[in-house]
Amino acid sequence: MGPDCARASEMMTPLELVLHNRPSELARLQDQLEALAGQLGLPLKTLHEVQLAVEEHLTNILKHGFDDQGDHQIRVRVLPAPTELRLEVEDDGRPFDPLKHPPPDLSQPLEARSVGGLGIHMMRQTMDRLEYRRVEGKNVLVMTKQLKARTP
Amino acid sequence: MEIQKRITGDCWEFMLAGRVDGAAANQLEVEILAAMKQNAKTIYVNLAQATFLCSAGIRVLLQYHRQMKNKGLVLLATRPSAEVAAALEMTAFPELVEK
Repeated sequence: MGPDCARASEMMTPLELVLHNRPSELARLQDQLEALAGQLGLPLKTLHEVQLAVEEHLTNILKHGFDDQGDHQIRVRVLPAPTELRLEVEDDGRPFDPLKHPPPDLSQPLEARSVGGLGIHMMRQTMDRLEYRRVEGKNVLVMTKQLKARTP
Repeated sequence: MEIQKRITGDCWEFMLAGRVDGAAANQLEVEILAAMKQNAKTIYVNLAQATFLCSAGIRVLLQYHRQMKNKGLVLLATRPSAEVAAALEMTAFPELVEK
């Protein structure tokens, strides 16, 4: 284990946030992710890829997840480990498994392209692993990003 | 995200810095619509300082790229940062970027 990994493992404090279903909450989460990435010494590229995946998933929840206008909680846990960053997002919206969403057709010419499904495609591209489960009436998506050990 | 704009004749350039998230995409759309209303013939969206570009941002670029192109006008992204270039590449939208 290199010194960066050792440093990261010493600071493996999970981040847990409860967000409300309002767009302004996304910025709060992104700011917290930036702070955590700074503490962990993560490369900016890794941070920005994680932020992109989080942005896409949370936006989908906010736009499509709820049938009512009421207040809902979205629980986000970020679990850093020496070799990976694991994010768990739990919402009580309608059942939705993003892994079952068909991939977009990227072969169409620009004029004919639809942007539907791009967000999920981008989540798949930027994260190393996505896992979905429905637990006790809630959607749980686990997104994992592998962290590269840096040599001194 | 912060947007700065530079207007040279009928050419408008928007310089975006920070996260181009959903809220920022809405903000960009407002700026583009204002430029189109003022008869901009060319609109550049400079993404050199953008840290990421979400699908809502790509949707805005695509929608107004098409609208401008249909009128014989130009809207293109320019100088994408590495992260933004990767987002445009993974979604196969290289034509949105100025060559």
